[in-house]
Amino acid sequence: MVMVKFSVFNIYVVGIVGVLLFILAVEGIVLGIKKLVENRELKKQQAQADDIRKEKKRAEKKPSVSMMLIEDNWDHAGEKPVIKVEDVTMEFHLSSSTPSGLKDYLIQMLKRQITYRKLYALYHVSFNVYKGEVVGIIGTNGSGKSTILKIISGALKPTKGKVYVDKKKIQLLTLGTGFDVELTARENVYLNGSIIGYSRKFLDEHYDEIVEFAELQDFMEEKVKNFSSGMVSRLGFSIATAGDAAEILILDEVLSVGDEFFKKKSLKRVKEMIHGGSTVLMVSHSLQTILDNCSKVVWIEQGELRMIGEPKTVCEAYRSSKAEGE
Amino acid sequence: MRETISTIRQYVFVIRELTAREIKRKYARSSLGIIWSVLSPLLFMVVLSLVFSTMFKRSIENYPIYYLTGQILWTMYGGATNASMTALTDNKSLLIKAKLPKQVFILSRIYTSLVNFGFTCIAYVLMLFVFRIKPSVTMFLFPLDVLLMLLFSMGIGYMLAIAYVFFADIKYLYSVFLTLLMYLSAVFYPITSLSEGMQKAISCNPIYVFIAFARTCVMYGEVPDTELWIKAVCWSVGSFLAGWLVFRKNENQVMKKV
Repeated sequence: MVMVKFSVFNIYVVGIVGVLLFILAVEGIVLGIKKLVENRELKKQQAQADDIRKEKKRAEKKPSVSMMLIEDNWDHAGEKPVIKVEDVTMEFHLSSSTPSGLKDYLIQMLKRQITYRKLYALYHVSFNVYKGEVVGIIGTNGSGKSTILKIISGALKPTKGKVYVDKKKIQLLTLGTGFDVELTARENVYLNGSIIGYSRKFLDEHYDEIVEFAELQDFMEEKVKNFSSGMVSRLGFSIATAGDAAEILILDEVLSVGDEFFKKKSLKRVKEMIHGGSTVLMVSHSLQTILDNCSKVVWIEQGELRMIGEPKTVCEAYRSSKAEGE
Repeated sequence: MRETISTIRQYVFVIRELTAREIKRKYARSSLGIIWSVLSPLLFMVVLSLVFSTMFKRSIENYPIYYLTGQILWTMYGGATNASMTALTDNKSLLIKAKLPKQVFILSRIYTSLVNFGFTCIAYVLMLFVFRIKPSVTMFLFPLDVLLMLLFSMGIGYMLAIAYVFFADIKYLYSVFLTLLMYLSAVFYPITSLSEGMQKAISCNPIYVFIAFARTCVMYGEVPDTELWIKAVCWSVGSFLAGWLVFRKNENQVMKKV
């Protein structure tokens, strides 16, 4: 029997092979990059030319859009806006091919097949929101409504333009509230509450109130995975609107969840908050909800601002444009 | 001033809530729960000692402790970085709402691994008594070593979390890399049994640096030499700064993608 220094030998080999592999990989990447850079320069120039062309097209279209603009400070002359959205543009890069894995990705990268298409989720949008206003944002699916809410709440930074708002005052409420289904409702209240900026003291004080409003007294020690979707959104709503913490409430398609009774209840809560001096920004597909609750409506279509003004006028215009489309 | 205090408080509150969730989830289905953090390194120690004790008898005294010191630190690093990697993608829906900087999600994962490590330390201290390691003042340097290593893991964690958002395959690459790194960290063999060139290479490995640091101050009761100090501090501060910069730079990009 020959005794081999088994483990030590192994380590040695593994080490060397590892280092070799690493060097090989680095070499490969460097070579690849060198080749790519040359190709890319060309592509870039083409892409730039394309962009300029597109910008021009948009610029030509522009006048017709601004014609429909109604001055948005018609009843707030001289007042300072709570939210000021200034010339915001948001660009997304959509990958035109979707590699299915590392190998594919590398191959496509080497072949320069991965190109990006620019998508303007928002294009030079500006509007103001004043204290105490209830502003509705309307537009068809994919027109950039949720994007603008995310930008205002600070989750996204715009590519161009600026948003002036005190981010600490904002409370954003969206569907799919980020509950952890493996935890109990009580634990979720604390987890979620902490993330959206409540202190432990605040949560301790308002816990009962939150539970009561959501009407979930008997379920708080239950895991959220056993909840119905209505129960989950009720809990989400009552956490976000707890106390009088939120000065600016952003509702993303929230008022249309839950049963009839809870809908009424949450609407009432929102109205109370408005009376208490809160400013509300909401997105909804239901024009009725918008008409019933808003004092101003912003209409965004394909990332561009189409109209700002009184709910009736804007909703009317929105409706008729849809009717035309059909 | 009061503002900053309340922000820090909120930070601590968020991290604790997130960590509590991590731990509850991790052990949700096991009946022993967090006790596994104590048990599993002990079991590993027993197995590895059975296998390697005789082999390295001459070069290492107290092989079980030698191994355990390396293993617990190694596990902490591996656990911390692996968990940080998916921190952003796992918390998609919370990311949009978060009022605090997005770093909290990674911080909480790091803190989770520290809590786990705390429990592991129970086993470690127990074993130190069992194997009659002489207590010495230098043992107080051990927590410092752990902190430096955490800082290092945090930097790596930041980078991995960002990379994972854009390139999910990194998960598999990293697990292979971790294995390689473990073999190069002298967790279960004496470094002196390697050739000189290899020894030099390994002594640059940050994980080995932290492990060697711990072994010097706990097992041998000595203050680590200057070289070790410099290496440990440089690695941890360097990695942290690099990770932080990468994170800051790509934060917005990540939000778009998520």
